[in-house]
Amino acid sequence: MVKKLLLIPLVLLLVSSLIAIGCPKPPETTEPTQPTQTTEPPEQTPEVKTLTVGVLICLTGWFSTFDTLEWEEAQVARDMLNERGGITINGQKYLIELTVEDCKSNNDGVIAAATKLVYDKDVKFIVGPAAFFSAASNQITEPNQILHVSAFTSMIPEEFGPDTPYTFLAHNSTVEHAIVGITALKEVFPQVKTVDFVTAEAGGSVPYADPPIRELLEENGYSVVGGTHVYPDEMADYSPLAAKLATSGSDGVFWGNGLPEHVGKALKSLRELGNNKPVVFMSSASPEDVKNIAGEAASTYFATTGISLGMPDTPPIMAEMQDRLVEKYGKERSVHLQIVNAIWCLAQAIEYAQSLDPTVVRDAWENLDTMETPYGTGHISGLETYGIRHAISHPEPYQLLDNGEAKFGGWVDVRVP
Amino acid sequence: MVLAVITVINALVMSSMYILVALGFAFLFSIMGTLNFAHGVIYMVSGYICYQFAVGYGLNQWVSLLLSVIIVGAFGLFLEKYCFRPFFGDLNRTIVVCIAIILILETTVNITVGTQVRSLPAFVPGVLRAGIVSISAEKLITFIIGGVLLAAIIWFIRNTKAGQQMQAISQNLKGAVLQGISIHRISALACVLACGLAAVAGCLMGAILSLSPFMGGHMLLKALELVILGGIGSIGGIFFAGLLIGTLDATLPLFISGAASEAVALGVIVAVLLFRPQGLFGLEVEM
Repeated sequence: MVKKLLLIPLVLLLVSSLIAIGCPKPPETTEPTQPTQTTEPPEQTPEVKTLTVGVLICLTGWFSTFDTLEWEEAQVARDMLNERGGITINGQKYLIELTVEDCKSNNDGVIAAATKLVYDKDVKFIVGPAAFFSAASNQITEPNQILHVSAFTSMIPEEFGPDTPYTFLAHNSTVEHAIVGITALKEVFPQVKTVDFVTAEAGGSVPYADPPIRELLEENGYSVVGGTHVYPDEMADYSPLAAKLATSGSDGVFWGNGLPEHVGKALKSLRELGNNKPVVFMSSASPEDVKNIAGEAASTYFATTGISLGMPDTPPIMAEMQDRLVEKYGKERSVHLQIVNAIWCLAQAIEYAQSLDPTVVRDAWENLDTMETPYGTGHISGLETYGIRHAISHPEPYQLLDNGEAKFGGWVDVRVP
Repeated sequence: MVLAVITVINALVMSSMYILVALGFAFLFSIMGTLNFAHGVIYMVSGYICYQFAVGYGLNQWVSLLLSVIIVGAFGLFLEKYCFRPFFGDLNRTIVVCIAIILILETTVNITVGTQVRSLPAFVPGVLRAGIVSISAEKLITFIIGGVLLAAIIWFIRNTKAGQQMQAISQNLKGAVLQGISIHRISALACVLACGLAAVAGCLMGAILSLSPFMGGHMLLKALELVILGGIGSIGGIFFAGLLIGTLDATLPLFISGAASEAVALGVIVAVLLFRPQGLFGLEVEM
């Protein structure tokens, strides 16, 4: 009996330790926020309706390290849009409601989540997922003519291309990031002439993503040393990869698709080997994210295409989002704004089309040339690059890590043909 | 030459951590017959507890590691008493209990800390240079700690009464009981040791590889590989299997891209098991 009693405090100790290792987050909600009231309460207008938008995000599994932040950002974007009046179609006001399904960081999870949104929840508009998961969600959205606004493409044709007429791409992706990365390489590390090219397997995207990136590098005067260094999406130890990079003989490393944790771990391993060759990461990772993983000592000679708080010339929408995110979740939180772009662009397209019919919205969207995104004005293009004019390329910053300090590099107004 | 030296160092560091985690896993399987699939998640939680003490509360990192080991070791007592003992000899129910523990601990970390990847600061910062080769002091100290702990565990098992009782139980449960050995006491001790070893590995690897709520899956897979390849019940087998798998993990990615290197490593293990189904040092059991 005494032993049993002794065990109780031990269990309590473990439970309290687990609880103490993090502060509980505010509860998540999918309820739309009413626009802020400045004067007297508005008339109760029964005609204000709700437009439900499905959100595909990985809330569990390996990709949730990136995607759970996207979900928090999506809710802030929804609030901002609703506070600006939501969407008006032929005089009818709609507030946006988000309904999220967990993609579970694998293709089966994505298909299950998309199926639930389309068949159970009957949504006509879906935003997300990020990474390479759109190839899976398109299996559900395309045959059902659901307007699908993807947050990323890793260049797999089934993700985004001529065979996905109901899919739009609302955020800079592999090729656009490469353009920003090459700009950073030129501006910050002009001494680099030869590079190793590293990329995550990213769901089998390498055969599609590798040729255009290599072509871009070569067009800009860089020669790629050896073959592409491909690593598994869920790799734990980056020491062997760092050993290869340290001894390859290249001037620098050009890192393609991947997550902040991937490049952070590799950067740490590379610097521990006493190697200071520049590393340019062409993905949505703030320098602070990478530094948190690599450590201060290893955080140098590094450039990334991600965004940070307080960057110079931050567009007003992005600045407002950042302020709200800091207010809600604290300064330590990093910002990605991929799914946010999808929601923001979808709202504009629906309002422009003045219809809730996905086909009508798609046709109207195809007639647009520009759209406002939190990153600034986005240009609709992509016929040459993706085989379909459904991509929005927008300005994107690059930033640096120099002797453990994050520094702003510059904005690049990206446009793909 | 440089690449070869770096690879040897990487292989030794990874091997020592794999062996530490696998030893705990093997203890429980040998003594209690429990396949503790929650072992990986215990490894993960230990890293987070250390992180909170060191980064959240600003405690000395070594003190944080010690606190993490104590807390997780104590959790081992709870596990043995309430999660494993009631299902002693019942593999199916034990697996269900382990899955529940995995979900509870992963979700708790997910909700309280979030899924964002974090990194423990280095236990020993700095880089040591010898000629053209560099190694982080952290990796070196990790390897030393791993080696010392392994030696201590082997000494404990061979030279202490409790250790010999563990061996007796793993060799012949009924015989050990007839000799008056308390199964529950030794099982509890094994559980504490297993969790403690996982905690040390979790804290040290949290500094080398960073922390995420899903880091335990990889280490659990490695523990399973080591125990099966080494031969169930053989500490020597785990040691050699650890060296083999650590070397494969450090070497194959140099020549093979992507997940194919992991597949090849597993293929090597399967090939070994085809010739020695009982593992490198396991005893063959007549069915």
